[in-house]
Amino acid sequence: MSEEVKELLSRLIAAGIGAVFFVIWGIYWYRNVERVDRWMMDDWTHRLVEHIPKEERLKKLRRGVMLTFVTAAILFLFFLCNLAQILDALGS
Amino acid sequence: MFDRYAYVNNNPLKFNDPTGHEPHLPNDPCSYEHCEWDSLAGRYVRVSYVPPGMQFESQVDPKLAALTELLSRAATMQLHYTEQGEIDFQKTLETELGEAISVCARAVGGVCGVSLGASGSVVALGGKASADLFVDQQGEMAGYLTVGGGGYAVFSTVNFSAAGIAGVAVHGATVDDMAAWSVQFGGSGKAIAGLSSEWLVGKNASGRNWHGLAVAQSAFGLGFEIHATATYSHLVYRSRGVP
Repeated sequence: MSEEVKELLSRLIAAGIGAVFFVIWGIYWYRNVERVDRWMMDDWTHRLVEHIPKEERLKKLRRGVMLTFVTAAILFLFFLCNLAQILDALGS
Repeated sequence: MFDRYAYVNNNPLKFNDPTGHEPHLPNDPCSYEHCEWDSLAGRYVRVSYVPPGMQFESQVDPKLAALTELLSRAATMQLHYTEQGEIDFQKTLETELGEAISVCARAVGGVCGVSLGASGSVVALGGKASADLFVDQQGEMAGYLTVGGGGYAVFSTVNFSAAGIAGVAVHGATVDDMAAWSVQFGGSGKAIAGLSSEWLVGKNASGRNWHGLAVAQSAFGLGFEIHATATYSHLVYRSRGVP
């Protein structure tokens, strides 16, 4: 295995691990938005958000956590691009 | 009856008529060489006066030109298709998105990019992790996984941001220079969502410093803090233009 392929493989693995991490991270917080809301309401920060109904707050948090899936998607894109480069390198 | 002073609205003490076409105030700059006959308006109009030797070519602000090009590219961005009719995601990523971001990179004289990630702290210690996509002035693209930690001064019981997106502009660097240790000084405020900004200072492999600015929007977070952190960026993708 050439040095170039080894390097590409290590990038592929790092991008893959990152993508999986952010998917798990996103799922975890999506399922725990109530906990975050409780932290927010137990602190002085409740003054900033108490005018928003609880359901609306939870909906905003769930919508916000979708960005972690975008992060995972970008890393997955890097994963695919590395894969394409590895296949090119092996083919040539 | 013939009116001798009609040419100055019957007020020869106030007006004069050096052009022979309309009354002028004595100190009106629209007279003599500062005036030009406008055939559409049917009168003399003021023209800008540039002293001899002071003429220069008008030049569009390069930053404004770069912004216009960026917006134009964003409006016309399209996916590339292979001969088999499949989407060539790598070409799309590198040519369309890469070139669009490189316009920003040329405007800042370095690297532009987006960073998506998370950060948080417990008492005075905290950490951060993000996925970064950078493009430099040559249109080269690189992806990084960045992790690090440092000291936080927190003004709420809990401080964390589970999801956020940042626009990053770094002066005096290429995408390869971003594979480096860097330090960030900044702060954030978020309650559900919020904003954050950071000043970044890094050093490339040959020891040359670069510095930049990151402005982030937290989409899922809570807490108010200021911080000083150190991070390391690990390369996870590099476009084919590797020297």
